[in-house]
Amino acid sequence: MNNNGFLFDTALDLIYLVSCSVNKTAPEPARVEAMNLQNVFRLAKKHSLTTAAAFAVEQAAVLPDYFLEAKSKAVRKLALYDIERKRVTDALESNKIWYAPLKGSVLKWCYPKTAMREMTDVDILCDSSRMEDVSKIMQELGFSCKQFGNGAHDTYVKPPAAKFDMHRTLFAENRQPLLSEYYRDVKNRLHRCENLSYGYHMTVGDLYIYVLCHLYKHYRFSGTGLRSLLDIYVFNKTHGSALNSGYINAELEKLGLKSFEAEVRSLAIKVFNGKHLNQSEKDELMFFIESGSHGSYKNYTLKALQNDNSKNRKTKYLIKRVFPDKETVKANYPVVYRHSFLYPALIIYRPVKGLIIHPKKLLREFRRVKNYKPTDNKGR
Amino acid sequence: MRLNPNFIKHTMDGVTLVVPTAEAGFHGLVQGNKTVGVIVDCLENDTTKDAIVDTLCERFEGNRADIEADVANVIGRLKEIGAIDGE
Repeated sequence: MNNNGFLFDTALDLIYLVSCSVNKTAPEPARVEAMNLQNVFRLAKKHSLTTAAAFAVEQAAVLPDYFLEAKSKAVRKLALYDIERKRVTDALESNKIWYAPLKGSVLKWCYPKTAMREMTDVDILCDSSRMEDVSKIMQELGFSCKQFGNGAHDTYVKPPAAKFDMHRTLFAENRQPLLSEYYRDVKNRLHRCENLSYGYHMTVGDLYIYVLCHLYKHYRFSGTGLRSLLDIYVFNKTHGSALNSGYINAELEKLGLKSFEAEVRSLAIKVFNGKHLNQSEKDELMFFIESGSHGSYKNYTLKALQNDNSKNRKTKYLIKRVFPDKETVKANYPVVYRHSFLYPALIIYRPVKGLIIHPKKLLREFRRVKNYKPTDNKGR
Repeated sequence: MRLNPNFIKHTMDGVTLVVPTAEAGFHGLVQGNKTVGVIVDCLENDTTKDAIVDTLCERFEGNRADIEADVANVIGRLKEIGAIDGE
């Protein structure tokens, strides 16, 4: 059995477990006993599905210590996020800054237990004209600012593990211009929460569109993992009947995402209901499996090569990696972007840094590009 | 005695959690049922074991001796991880 077959089989076990959790069915003890739970655990961690899997395992077997410890750690993190989120939003209310929690903070309510929906950070959209005030508030609450003024959000961290991304916009103009334009006046798409003066939320339909756009943003570049697919499944399971398909389809048409949504939704429903998949669906699922929660560098490389293994394409890719274009510099090296005379130094700095810090990663990338064949890519 | 300020009571999916912050020496998680929730609620103000037992006896049915044992057990676990200040 090749590596991919082994990985796929482990993923099917993980999918079975999380499906049981979200569908509120008890897993078959015999099937759980037959699993290599160490392998399932490792894959679950990669996809931020440890708690979702753990809830299922413990219904059919004794949860192994490593699984229990990881579940406990994840639940603690989620609890700390809840506590910090309340502090942050209370402070935003007091300071009259409008805000809207995003992503996991909202999606978790679609799951049978909120603890099944792990989060690596908390995302909150804020009034873009008040980001300096937001920064002051976050620092007064004990957060350190890790990134400010670059891209769609500012990043704040606080021990032991809290990471908050405070968004000025939903999508960065230089990276996702179409999505950025669509959400230019995002506040017009929000509704004030009851009992709050400055807290806002999206309608269920707009939330679904946003979740899909966010999924596509990652899928298009380095890929996105099983948790994203699970989000689509549980969202449809929870809100499906309330979704105004006419409105949603019209909006997705504007974004060029209508067929993408249909494919992802169909795949999600089949996967998490244990239905038979055709070869194309298996390939698509494999892409999610190989990506992990935050995409993979392998998928980033494959997408950049765009199903073209010509020497010309590969050379262009490698040149672009050594000589980043204007958009890449603007997004990742804002100081160099503002002071273009530093560009030659950047050209030297990047590969030298890579060779010192992660030489094997560079070598893997080089080999991947050199050996790339179009059949590795599903052509998206 | 009362809850150490480096431990916070939180409820998630109907389960009571006692969550250590970064400043706590303990980095695990304590979770329990409604009884634990009431005990931790009492500990948010300075209180005594007997006062906690009285509160539980008012709220739940059961033998006082059994309730005392449950309270002693929970307080013992919380003390072990440094979640309680005072006696």
